[in-house]
Amino acid sequence: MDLLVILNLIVTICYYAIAVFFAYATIRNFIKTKDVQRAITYGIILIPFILRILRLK
Amino acid sequence: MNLKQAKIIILVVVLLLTGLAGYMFYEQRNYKETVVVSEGITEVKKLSNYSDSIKGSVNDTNVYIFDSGKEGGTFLICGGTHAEEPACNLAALVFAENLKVTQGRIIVINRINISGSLATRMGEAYPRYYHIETPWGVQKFRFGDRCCSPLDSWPDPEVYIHYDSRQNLANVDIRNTNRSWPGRPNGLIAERTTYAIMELIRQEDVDYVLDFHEAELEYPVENTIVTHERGNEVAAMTSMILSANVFDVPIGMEFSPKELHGLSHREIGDASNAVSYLAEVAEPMLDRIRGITDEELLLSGKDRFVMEAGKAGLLYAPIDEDGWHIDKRVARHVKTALTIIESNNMMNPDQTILVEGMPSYEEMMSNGVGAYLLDPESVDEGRLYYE
Amino acid sequence: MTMMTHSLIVIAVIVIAFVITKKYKLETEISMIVASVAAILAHIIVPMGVDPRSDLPFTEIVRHLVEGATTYFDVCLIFLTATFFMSLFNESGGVAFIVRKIVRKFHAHRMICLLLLTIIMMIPGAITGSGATTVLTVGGLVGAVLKAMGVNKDKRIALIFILGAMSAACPPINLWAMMAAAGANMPYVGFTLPLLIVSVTGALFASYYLAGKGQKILLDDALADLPEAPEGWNFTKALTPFLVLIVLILAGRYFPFTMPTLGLPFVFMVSAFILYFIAPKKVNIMQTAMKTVENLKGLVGIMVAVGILNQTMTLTGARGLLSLGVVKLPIVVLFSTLWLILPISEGVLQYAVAPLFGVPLIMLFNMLGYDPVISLAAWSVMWPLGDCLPPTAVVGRAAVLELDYKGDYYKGFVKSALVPMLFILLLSSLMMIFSKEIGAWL
Repeated sequence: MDLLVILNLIVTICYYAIAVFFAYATIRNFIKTKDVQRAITYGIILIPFILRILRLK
Repeated sequence: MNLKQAKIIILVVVLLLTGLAGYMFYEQRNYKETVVVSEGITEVKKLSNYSDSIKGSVNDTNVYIFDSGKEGGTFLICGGTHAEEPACNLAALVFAENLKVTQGRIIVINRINISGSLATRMGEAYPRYYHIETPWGVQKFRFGDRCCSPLDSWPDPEVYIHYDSRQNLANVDIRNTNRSWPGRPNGLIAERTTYAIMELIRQEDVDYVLDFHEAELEYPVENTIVTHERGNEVAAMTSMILSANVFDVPIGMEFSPKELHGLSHREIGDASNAVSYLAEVAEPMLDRIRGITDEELLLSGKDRFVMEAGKAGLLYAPIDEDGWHIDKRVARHVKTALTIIESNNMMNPDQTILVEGMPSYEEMMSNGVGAYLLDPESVDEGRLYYE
Repeated sequence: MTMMTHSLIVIAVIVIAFVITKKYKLETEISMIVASVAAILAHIIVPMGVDPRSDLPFTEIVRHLVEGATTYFDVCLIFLTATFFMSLFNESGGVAFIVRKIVRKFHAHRMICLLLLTIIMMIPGAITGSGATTVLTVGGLVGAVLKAMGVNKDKRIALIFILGAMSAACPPINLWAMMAAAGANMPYVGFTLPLLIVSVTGALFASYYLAGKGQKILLDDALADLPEAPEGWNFTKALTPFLVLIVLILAGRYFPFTMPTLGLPFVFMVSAFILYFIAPKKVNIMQTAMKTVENLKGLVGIMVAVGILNQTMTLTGARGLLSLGVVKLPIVVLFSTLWLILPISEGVLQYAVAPLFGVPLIMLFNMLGYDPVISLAAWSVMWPLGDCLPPTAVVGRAAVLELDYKGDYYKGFVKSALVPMLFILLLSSLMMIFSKEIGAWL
């Protein structure tokens, strides 16, 4: 496989890692928050993260 | 209800909604379309047979070769460049399922950009599938995105710099297989796909190429053949024949602009010996001013808001109560391809291609496209392919 | 009932649902989602016109809502990573170090200082195309210097917002122009000069109008008001992460065929990684990430919600009706109202307005003989000015967040920004009206 293709693949994997990192931070905020509206917002934010991390969308 | 209970409910709702939609996305990404190749098929290859650049990726598409064994020209038909333009892969499919070549060769690719067809375009509220009535039942097809899925090409750059003109294009166009010609072997998936097709064109010594497209009625490049300058005579003759004798709405002809890079009609002609053509037909589903977005609009091509814009003189194609039905759009593309062959036979007799088995424009208009799609259960496995 | 009436009712339901939920003090992003669900309910209940329509099963409704939520995922990642990078820089004391240095060096030269700050603000948006990224990366820093220069809080936030908006409009990357050009199959060529002229003129006008006058900076007082920078910072350490950021972005631009495609979130994370290792004061990465998400929850939540609303409006024909309504306006009315329509629509739908209004308008202007490139450039400067308007107000909210603004959003912030905004809108409108002449001249 060409080196550039491999590098692009590594960058893509890093993106999944970045998505996991912020999804984890969002989940911890969801657990920590004492406000229902904030919990809803965190829940909404999580949707695209879950779908991307699981390679569904 | 206390906070903990509320949070559990929120989490359950989010997971249920995401899970249900996620399953539907998964289903579309894994749905396989059937192709029953015509008895006239000679060979079915994979695109990766021509270049390793695409090996192992979702865009390693089927290449259907119809070779008469008799000397003549070679014609490549490309469908499915943009998966939100359904008449294009359907027109290519009608060729793949009905074609018999008695002189020369025809190569058909139904779906150039499979990746784009595996997920719908976010924000456009597209249906995931469309269904075509046939004499043996209903055949189901994926409806998709203009570009490759982000699952196959992530991330996008801040700006897409086209190889190798260095022209700046919108960042999402790095996933657009009609902005990435002539491609490069080590780019992202769209560039690797077009590179592999360029290799096919070079290795198979293709004489001319036709790329099927559909366009919104607000777009000036509409119901026309866009041609590389080397194809002007064939395109002009095709346009004249079809406009005078066959189509109710004329088909125009225009030159590929030299300053607009990445498009098939420009780059294939520049980067190979093949002459490149691109055919456009009207698809109201693509107009920004369209009304309710559903499969009905996709198939009927009838939209009241687009008709309103037409009355105000804002469109480049006519539209009335009949809309732009999928049968008409596919029939126009099939007939355009056949007429390009005829015109090219006249202009370049050494590249003669003779075909049989294809429905006429009138037959497709009266019987519908479904009449020319074959039942996968009625043929032996050797003729059955999946995309 | 016609489809037009159907879509009009859907729009009315969206507005009513939004107003009611806001009245009950629901967050904007939640109100937008409730409005989207209400729109789909109305879509199902109200007859859809005389033509046959496809079924819309419950599963497909859910799919549409969730699919809409993913529309701006990449933009959200840019917001999160950019803010994470700047939060790390801020918490490890880098911002305090740079601000103190600028104040010490330029306190006696107000005009030069202002010019420098304008340039600092224009760069991030110019290369990323995002005004929110500008505000979230350098907005806090520039705001601190403006405070030291004696600019009051209303003018300070107004200036940070306008510079953020103008940086997004500034070439080479203007996302609105790019998206609309892509939709109209135009190459992104010929935009640099018209975008540069209007965005830089607008930025300079705003800077000198809002912060040109003020009392002389008393160095000792100003420094006493600023937070102390931790020991160990120097210019090399403070500038290296930014240098990495700029080098990686420019490398992708100048060596696009030998570099892998990095994208902005990756570049921000690499810069953050380097910053973490060279900063003299170590901060807790997870805590910073959580704080970033907490600070940005409104912004990111709105981007997710606006994606859902956009998808719903497209599904129900409401989006098409708005688009049709705009292009059917007589040209004189269009000229005299676009300066209002474009920013307001940006406030509602964010970047989605570029293809929504931009593409039909390009086709229309092309048909009428106006220069589509110059006209699109003019609209692409008007759009970002709507980023302080409700319901989304993405850049405005980012500015409030970064500057910790406690004043009145409309009577303080937006009112202060009004004159420079009107100046920029007038300039853009003139460019649009005389697009043919300007196009021939450029």
